[in-house]
Amino acid sequence: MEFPYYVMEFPGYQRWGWEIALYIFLGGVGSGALITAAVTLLLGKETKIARAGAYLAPPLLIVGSVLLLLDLAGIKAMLRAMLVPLTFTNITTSWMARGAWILLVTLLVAIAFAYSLATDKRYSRTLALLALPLGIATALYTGLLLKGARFVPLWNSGELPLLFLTSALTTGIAATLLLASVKEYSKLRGFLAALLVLLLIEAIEVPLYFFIIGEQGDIAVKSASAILSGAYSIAFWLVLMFLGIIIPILGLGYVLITRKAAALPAFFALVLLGGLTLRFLFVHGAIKAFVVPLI
Amino acid sequence: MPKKFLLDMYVNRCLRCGGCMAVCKTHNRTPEGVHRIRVITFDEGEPTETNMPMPCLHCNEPPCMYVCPTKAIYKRKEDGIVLVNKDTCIGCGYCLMACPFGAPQFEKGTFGNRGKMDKCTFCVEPYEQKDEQGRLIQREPKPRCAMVCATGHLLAGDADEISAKLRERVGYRMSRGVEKTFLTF
Repeated sequence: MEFPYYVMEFPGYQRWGWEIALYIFLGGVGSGALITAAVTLLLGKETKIARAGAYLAPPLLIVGSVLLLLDLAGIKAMLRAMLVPLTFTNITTSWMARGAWILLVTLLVAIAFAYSLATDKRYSRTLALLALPLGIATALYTGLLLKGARFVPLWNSGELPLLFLTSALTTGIAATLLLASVKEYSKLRGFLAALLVLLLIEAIEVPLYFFIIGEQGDIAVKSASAILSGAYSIAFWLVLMFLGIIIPILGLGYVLITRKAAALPAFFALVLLGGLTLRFLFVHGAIKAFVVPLI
Repeated sequence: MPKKFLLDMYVNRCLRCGGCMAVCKTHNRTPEGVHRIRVITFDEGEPTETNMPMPCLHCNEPPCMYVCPTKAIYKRKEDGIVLVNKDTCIGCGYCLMACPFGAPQFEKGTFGNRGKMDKCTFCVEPYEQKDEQGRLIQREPKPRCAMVCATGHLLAGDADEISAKLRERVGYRMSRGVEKTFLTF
């Protein structure tokens, strides 16, 4: 039997704070850097860039995990949450429990990968093969974590994990190249082309997401319109779309044509700014639906 | 077959007197910022204005239970009451995001001090007491909000009785065509 119900904006709910938004960003950058490093190593390309990515991933994932812990109930809960296998038992239905396991395994593999690249390189290819799917899983899970809370209409779409994966890859590549600071254009060309393609995908994906999310109902339309034309419109259009996506696309296109790599760090920083803004928009701009059953 | 416990609401009887919220607060002594039952008003000022007290509805398939990463939220087998084990709750707030009715409550804490989840328990606290032989004493649920409800909007008790009462009321209203003037069905 279908009950009649009334959906309204949740009155005064406690949103997830900046810790979660920043974690999703750092987890995305970390997993993106891990993927970049693994792919670079497996393709046998520039090892300096592979090493930069591998060194970047563990600290970012660790800082992200600490931010996750800070959002919990208190010191005791934090300590308990660190014992992932004992605490996060509900892996059958909860994306947070699955995510904790994914994050733990990814972090361990990332540390081992970085260590193997720093010392002898015997196992680094095997670890890269492990790190690649784990990095993708971590990036996807941050989206699935939000999607798992089904009654936040802005998050309730299968496109969200893909959007977060794209953003994780762009920010991961940008952060890796920023850290590697390779000056020679010839070594960078492949990465820049990949970044450009991913940014073009993101440039289509991000606005499209807010238009297709409308089918999730009135609350989704309300949160999407707050982002597209309301309180968050400056952050969305100016910071995310213009500074974070369009300027880097134009800049990378310019660099690929003229082969002058001098301004690249600025574009990488803008890509990172765009990724950060995207995560904050999704966490803070989401309105929770409040369902009132009417009998 | 143990009887399932049910608390139900009936639209358009609530006057928003606030008795349920007050008695819940005083009986359960919940901390500041935690409201196990809240009266929600929608379409305020319109002809369709409706008040609705919202406790935890103790769903058959609770979304909060499914998303809880630590299995702290569980559904009691004998009467279907959804409870939270505060020893294993880590206060992640995922249940708050998943619940469509706003039942999970957290203290308004600052940085790193969200507190553990608190929700309507149908007034069965303490959830589990042990007698001298170490056997569990399950206390009978006695929702104080339903006891004080002045207009009989909130009903609590055995699921079959409550459903029958509810059906009777809805049928009466439907037969008089009252229901149609309110929100679309």
